[in-house]
Order: sequence, then C-alpha cells, then structure tokens
Amino acid sequence: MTELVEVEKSTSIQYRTGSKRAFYRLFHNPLGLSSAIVVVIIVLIASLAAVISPYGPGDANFGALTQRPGTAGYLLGTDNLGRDMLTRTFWGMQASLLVGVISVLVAIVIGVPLGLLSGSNRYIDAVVSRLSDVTLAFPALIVALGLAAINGANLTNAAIAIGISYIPVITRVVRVETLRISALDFVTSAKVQGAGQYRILSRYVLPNALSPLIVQVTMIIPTAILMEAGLSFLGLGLQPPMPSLGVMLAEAQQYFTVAPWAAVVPGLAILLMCLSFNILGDALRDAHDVH
Amino acid sequence: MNVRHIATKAGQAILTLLLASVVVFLGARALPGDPALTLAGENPSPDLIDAINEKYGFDQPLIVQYGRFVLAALRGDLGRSSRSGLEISDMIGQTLPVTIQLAVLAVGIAALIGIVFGVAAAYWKGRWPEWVANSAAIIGLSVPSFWLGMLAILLFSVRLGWLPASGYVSIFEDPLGALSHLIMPAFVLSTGLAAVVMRQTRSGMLAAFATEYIVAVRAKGLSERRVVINHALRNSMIVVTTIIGLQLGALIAGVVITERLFGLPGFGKLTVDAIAQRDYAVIQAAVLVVAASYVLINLVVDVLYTVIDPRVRVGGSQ
Repeated sequence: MTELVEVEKSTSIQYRTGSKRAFYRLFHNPLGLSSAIVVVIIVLIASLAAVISPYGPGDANFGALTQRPGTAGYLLGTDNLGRDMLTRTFWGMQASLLVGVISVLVAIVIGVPLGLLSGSNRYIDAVVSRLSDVTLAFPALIVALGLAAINGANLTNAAIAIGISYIPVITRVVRVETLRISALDFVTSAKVQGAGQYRILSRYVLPNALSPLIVQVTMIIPTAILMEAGLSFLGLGLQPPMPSLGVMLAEAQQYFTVAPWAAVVPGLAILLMCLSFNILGDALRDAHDVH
Repeated sequence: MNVRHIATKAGQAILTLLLASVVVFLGARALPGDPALTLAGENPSPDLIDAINEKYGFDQPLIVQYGRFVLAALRGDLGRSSRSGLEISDMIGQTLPVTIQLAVLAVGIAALIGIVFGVAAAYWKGRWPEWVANSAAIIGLSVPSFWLGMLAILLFSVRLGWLPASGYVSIFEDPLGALSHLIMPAFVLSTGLAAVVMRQTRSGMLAAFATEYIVAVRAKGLSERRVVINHALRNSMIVVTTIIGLQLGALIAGVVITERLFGLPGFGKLTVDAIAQRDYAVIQAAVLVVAASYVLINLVVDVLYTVIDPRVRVGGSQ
C-alpha cells in the first residue's frame, strides 16, 4: 500500500502537472535557483527604492562632487553634482523594471488576444500577419522617436513604444501554441461536447499556452531593460533629474574620463539585471521544455 | 528558383511597404504644430501661409496629400528639411554610407565571433569551450552595448591611446584610418548579434552532428575539419542569414545609439538630431527609409533562402 502511494507521488512530480514539474526542475537547477533569488532581490530593491535609499534621488552635495566609491557615506561614490550613486542606482533600477513590466503588459494585452484569434481563424490570421509585418518594420527605437515627437519624451511613452515592438513576438508565440493545442484530442472532445469558440480558447487553449508565454516574457524583460537604457541614453526616456540607468550613463559620458565609476556603476546594474533575467529565462525554458 | 514563392513574398513586401507608408504619413500629420507655420518662419503674413498651403497641398484632402507623398517618395523626392532647407534625399545620401559601413562591419564581426564560438560550443559539448561560449553569449545578450563602448573608449582611447574615440574618415580616402575609426563602434554594435548567432549556430551544429549524413561522412573517413566545415557548418549559413533579417530592428536601434556615442556622422545621428530640432520633414523621411529598408532586406533574406536552402527552392517543408 505504502509502495503504491510512493509511486503515485513520484509520478505526480514527473508526469502529471506541467507547472509543478517545471518548478521542481527549476529549483533543482543551481543556476536557475540562484537567478530566481537574484531576480527577487532586484524586484525588492526596485520597489523599495524610496525606503532603502540613504538619500533622495536628486539630493546634491556640492561639498562631495565625484567622490570615489567607498568614501564615507557614499558606498558607490557620487556623480558630478555630488549625488549618491547608490541611491540613484536603486531608483534607476526601479525605472528599468517599471519599463520592463509596462512594456510586457502592453505586449501581452494586445498580443495574446491577437495570437489566439489568428491561431483559430485563418482570415484573421492573414490580416494579423500583415499588421505584424508592418509593426516589425518600425523598430522600437523608431516608434519611440515618433511617440516622443508627438507626445514628448517620457518613461511611459518609452515603455509603450517598447511594448508595441514586442506585440508581434507575443502574437507569434500564442498563435503557434493555439494551432498546436487546438489539434489535440481534448480540444476536439470539448468541441464535440458543444463548447463554443470563446470557451475553447479561454478554458482549454490559453491555460496550456502559459508556459511558453512565461518563458517568452522572461526573455523580453531584459531586452526591454536594455532598450529603455538606450532610449534614455538618447534622451527619449525618463527625463533628468529623475534617475534612469540610461540617463545616468548619458550624464556620465560628459565626465567619465575623470570619474569612471559614474559610468561603471549604472552599466553594471543593467548588466546584473539583464543577466539574472536571461539566466532565469534559460532555466525556465529548459524546465518547461520549450524550444 | 521557386518563382511563385518569390512572387508571393514580393507581393507581401509591397503590401507591407504601402501600409507602412500610410502609418508614416498619418504619424507625421499627428505631430504637433502646423506644417505651413513651421515652413513660413517667424511672423508670417496670412498670404504667405496661404501660398505655402497651396504650394505643398496642405489644403488638399488627406487622401490627395497621401497620393502626392507616395508619388514624390517613389521619385526619390523626400522634401526639404524645415531647418536647413537642404534636400532630405541629399542629407540621407551623405549619411547612409557611413551607417552602412558601420552595420556591414558589425554584422561581419558578429558572424565571425558567433560562428566560431557556436561551432566550438557544439563540437566540445560538455567541455570547457562550451561553458566559455555559453557564458560569453549570455553576457553578450545582457550587456548594454553603449556601456561597453564607453568602457572601450576609456581603455583603448584614453588609457592606451590606440584608437580614436570619435570622428569619421571616408573609407575611400583613407581605408586604414576609416577602419581605426569604425572598428570599436562596430565591435560594440556586434555584441548582441554575435550572441544570437552563437546560440543559433550551436543548436544548429548540435542538430547536424546528430544526423545520419554526418555519421555517414565520418564513416567515409573524412577529416574532422572537413566534416565540421564542409558539412555540418553549411547549415549555419542559413541561420546567419535568417538572424540578420530578424535582428535588423535591434541593429538599427544599436546603430543610432552607437553613432551618438562615437560621434559618427551617420543616418542615426541625422535622425536623433532631427528629433532634437523638431525637424518633422526629416523625421518622416528617416522613419520611411528605416521601414522601407527593413522590408526590403527581409525580402532579400527570403529570396536568399531559395538560393541557399534547397528545401525552400523546390517548395518543400522549411
């Protein structure tokens, strides 16, 4: 009897539910586990920037300009206006993560329904794939340039521009999954039992398409963070004096030969964020067997 | 050659281009400010405004304006800069060669690094070269390229003094000087692309090593070098072509940022300057050029497929 229970337990981990199995695999992969922990720490730092920062993001100390990292009171040094690099890096991480989240939301809210529809109706598919082609012909940077010209340069416009450029990516992933899942027996059985199109897409297709979607989102966030840094570097994102890692790099460009840390610190922060999201994304992809 | 396949792709490309031109045209009309007022300069008389409206057709219905815009663009007439008064097609003609040199060099570096690392990672699977290549790829995907550029300037220009930190000389006047100006920006621009090429090459090679034809050529007694280069690597050609089509958007963004960092007088700098000066005519033309080149290059990639990949050529499964 106990043996039977044992067997059932182990099969439930290895064969039954996809998400449980994926979690099991993720947390038994040291690289995946540590990247997940770092991502959690990054999210905590970014959301608590106002609480844990030693100074305000714009606090300038003209008595302590371009202090080296390790100076008393300034762990990561100060910039050319005497502002604390640690504080500004925390706030910059918040801006980066915010852009990552907003752009992913934009891409999901528009891309998921489009993907479901184009995977289940070939007329809609033809229209959506032309629209995707048109969207792809305008790289995120170009959309951001346009939005900045129309609405002014700010964080939200940058995030929306980045989000728009990822709509075709999300649409494609969901479309492929919809085609794959719709051909499976349990969907056919639901159809035979009289389930409507909406019910099939929302109850059967979408829940089973979540794994590749989550993997894709984890892969999109670091590229969105890089894109935000680039846009802010060009002056098309968050406007100074509010700190974004890209703004900090753009400002540091003026004087980084005398204070290299002003360029090194924000760059390292971007690298760390993107690296942990990319490693987590790879681990999730392996755990979910999505390729 | 599969003529029908190419014709379908060309038809789709033309449709995409037309839709893109509508987006550009309407986008330009959504910009704040009256175009006639912008062109008229300070304190214009009402007569002047009317004259400008009539000359440029701003008083015509939108559909007529769009028709004129497309016909003019097809003739290569992109209008004049509202700031400098120069022909925009001339401005683009001067800056685009700089950008093309930078992009071609970057793609070349990315292909070289990506293929070498990708082949090494697949050939020595599970050993240290794979580990090194995988780590390099994930760092390449995560590093902001312009930050890498700043560090490179710090090291090679400021500390070592080996390479110029900014500026540009024409490749036709001084090839070596041009290379010294372009090598650092091109390398910086290539990081993300190299990482993607490496990952795709690695998985392509792993798949190739598992196939029967590789087992067959090995059994035939070919040297390992020929097995890898003549047989397994052939598929990487297709991979690299695909990626360059897909990654073009990211490359364009990278070009704009890299040109800004290294002070290269290219197409990206033209675009960013136009934004800063609110030169809407130039912005509209630049966006149209980017969209058109994206569509055209992807069409070329599709046609190249039919040349490189026999499966597409005969219309079989891809």
